[in-house]
Amino acid sequence: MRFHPLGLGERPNDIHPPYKSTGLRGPREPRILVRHELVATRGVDAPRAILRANDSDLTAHGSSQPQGQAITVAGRVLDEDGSPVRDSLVEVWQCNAAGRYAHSKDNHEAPLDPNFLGHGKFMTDHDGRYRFKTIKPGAYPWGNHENAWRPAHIHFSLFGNVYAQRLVTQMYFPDDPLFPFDPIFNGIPDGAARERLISRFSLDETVSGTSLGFVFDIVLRGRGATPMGV
Amino acid sequence: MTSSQTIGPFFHNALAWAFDPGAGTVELVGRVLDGNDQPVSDAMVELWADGATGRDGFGLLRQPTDEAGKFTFRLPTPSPGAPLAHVCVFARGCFNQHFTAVFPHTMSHRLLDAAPAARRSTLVAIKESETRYQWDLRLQGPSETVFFEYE
Repeated sequence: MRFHPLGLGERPNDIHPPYKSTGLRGPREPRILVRHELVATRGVDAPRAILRANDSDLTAHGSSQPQGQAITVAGRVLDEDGSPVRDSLVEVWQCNAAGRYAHSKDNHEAPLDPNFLGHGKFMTDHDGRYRFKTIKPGAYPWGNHENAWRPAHIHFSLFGNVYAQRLVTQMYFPDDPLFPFDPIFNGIPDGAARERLISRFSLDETVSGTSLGFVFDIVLRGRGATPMGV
Repeated sequence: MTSSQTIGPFFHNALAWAFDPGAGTVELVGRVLDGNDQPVSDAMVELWADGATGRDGFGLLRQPTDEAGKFTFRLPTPSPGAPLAHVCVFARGCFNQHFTAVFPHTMSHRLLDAAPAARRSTLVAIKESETRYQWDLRLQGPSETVFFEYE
């Protein structure tokens, strides 16, 4: 497996003054390049036994349907060659339709939804595909600057096949009017790279009478990511 | 490639299924600190070490930091010439994950040797006893921890 340098503008700068908390948390020293074989050839071993009932249906965690627009999010996890990243764990989390996380530290005054916990996990299949059901998250205010609002997003945590592919990112929704004002989204220097974090509406993934569909494909670092024999 | 975004402050419930400090005999305690030496109370530290199986055989240990920025892991005794653990840290205010490693003492190792000599000590824990090591991870500042990029 090989790792090439990230494309210019694909990685957010560690210190991005518009996102204020990067000021003291972003490293200033350059990263030290090392061969990934030194440390990162192993992956996590995520047996399907870790998956629980309804881990991929975030609308099924309460006694009835959560508030909000039911959606399906689907896509493929690929490596830089476009090969599928198979049997790989994905974790997701998000706020509810009103913009509130079911988290003790979220003090946004929007209502909690007793039927929505807002997190799940699943494995990619043999083609690198995943699919989960949830509700569309709301936008929410945050304290970064006056009248700051995060565009609606779902957090993704991916493990790939080896640890050097690890990625934590956020998926956004098409045509969000908050994009121009969000320092986290705009922390990615390259415009095309920012666009790749925006899911696209899909009629194919839309379930008649039930839920809207969005597609979000993810490309992890590394070429030749699929180990022999998998 | 898909760009990284911050883990944010609200990851705990989603990732808690695999929070596991390990069950080895060697304790690794430390803090995640920012550029003002203030504790980062909403970071997540992931690490892997030979022989640490993790929750349900996951292979990875991970813990959120507490209010004081502290983390505690219980690791297997490291093999001679091996680090205590390979480490990755995530936090609100970090757009990217940061890969690093922690060693039980100064040694010849390709990772340690790759680090600039003046900063190598940021990868070496303080041995407090035969079974307890202390190591602070500094995201920024004069003693900023060495972070690696894989190629």
